[in-house]
Amino acid sequence: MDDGLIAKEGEGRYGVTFTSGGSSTAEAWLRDWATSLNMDIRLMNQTMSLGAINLTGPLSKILLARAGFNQDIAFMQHTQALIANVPCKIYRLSFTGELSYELHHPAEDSLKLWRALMQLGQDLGIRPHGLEALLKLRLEKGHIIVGQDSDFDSTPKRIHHDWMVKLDKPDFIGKTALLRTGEIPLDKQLVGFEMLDKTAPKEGAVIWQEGDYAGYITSSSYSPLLGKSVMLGWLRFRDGYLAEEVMIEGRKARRVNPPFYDVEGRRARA
Amino acid sequence: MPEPKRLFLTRVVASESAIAEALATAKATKLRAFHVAPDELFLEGDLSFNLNDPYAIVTQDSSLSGLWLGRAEAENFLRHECPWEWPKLGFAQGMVAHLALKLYLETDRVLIICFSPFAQDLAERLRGYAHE
Repeated sequence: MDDGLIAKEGEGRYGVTFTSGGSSTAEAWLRDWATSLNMDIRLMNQTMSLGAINLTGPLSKILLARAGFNQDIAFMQHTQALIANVPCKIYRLSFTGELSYELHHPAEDSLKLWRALMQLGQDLGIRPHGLEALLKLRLEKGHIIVGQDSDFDSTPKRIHHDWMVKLDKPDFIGKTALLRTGEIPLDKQLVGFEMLDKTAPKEGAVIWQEGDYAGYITSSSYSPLLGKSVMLGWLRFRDGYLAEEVMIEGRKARRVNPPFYDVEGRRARA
Repeated sequence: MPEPKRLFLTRVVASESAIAEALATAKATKLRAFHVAPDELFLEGDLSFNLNDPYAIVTQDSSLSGLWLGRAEAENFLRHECPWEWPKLGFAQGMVAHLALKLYLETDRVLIICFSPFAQDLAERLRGYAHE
């Protein structure tokens, strides 16, 4: 449905995040499920109330300590604390693949928090990052963007995310559909490609296998760190196999399993 | 023309019965309340009474911005930009001048409220009327 996280904030209380643009749709779905399942819930959409700053990079922990936060929180854990005197919900997760903290805070304090972090991090070489940097870094990690790399028929199995779904749970929304579609043989899969070329193919470029259409590229970028172009794309199975080598925009590309960078995920878990 | 300023409010999501009770208490204590949904309201100031819902979500919220206009000035704006019939007194909400606005109407003035990210848009719409 969308990209996000669920954080348990107390007994029977959860914070749920989605993309900002998708929050209204997500809220509608949550309300619909609650009504359909006859659940008595309280739901407050705080998208307009909260700001979020993503503090990312190997020195981010040092910067947080300077801003008054000295706790150790494990990867994929969260807490609440003052950061530069701004009340924050701190989520340790990582889209960039580096040590990262998302700082969710009252929207009216965004400027104050931003300026404090920029000031405190000056000698650490802190710099604002934009979407292009974020998209490049996440692609190196093979992190997908829902709606760009996925499509309406993308099952967890097709996008190599079946490890995320615990089918031994008694029940959850979508379980029946996953069990049913899980029995269908895979016809295509979202896979990684690399190309020793500084000009990355365009997103949407066709993937050719021995002259036949074999799929298309969903994400593509040159990685200065790796010195090659890296891509994600949908590749069709042929005779039960995925091609090892394909042609994209007239150039040879090799299929590789993402992530392209920090395969063991040590940097995000540092 | 004054510009919209952030409103620091208490935001409550609770059962509809708890919200109805809260509205009655707010009215009795002359606390301004903006009833935005059956299960949700914004209150001026802190919550000074008990909510009859152990699962209620109560937060301090600054997602809304607003400005007071004199009744005549506000009605001039609404006559031109509001396609629906607004009440004489109390709270109302809907699209006005292509913005999602909330109105709190008192006898001699009107509080015009928008989501804070649209405060500049609202200011521009209102400035347009100041130049008319």
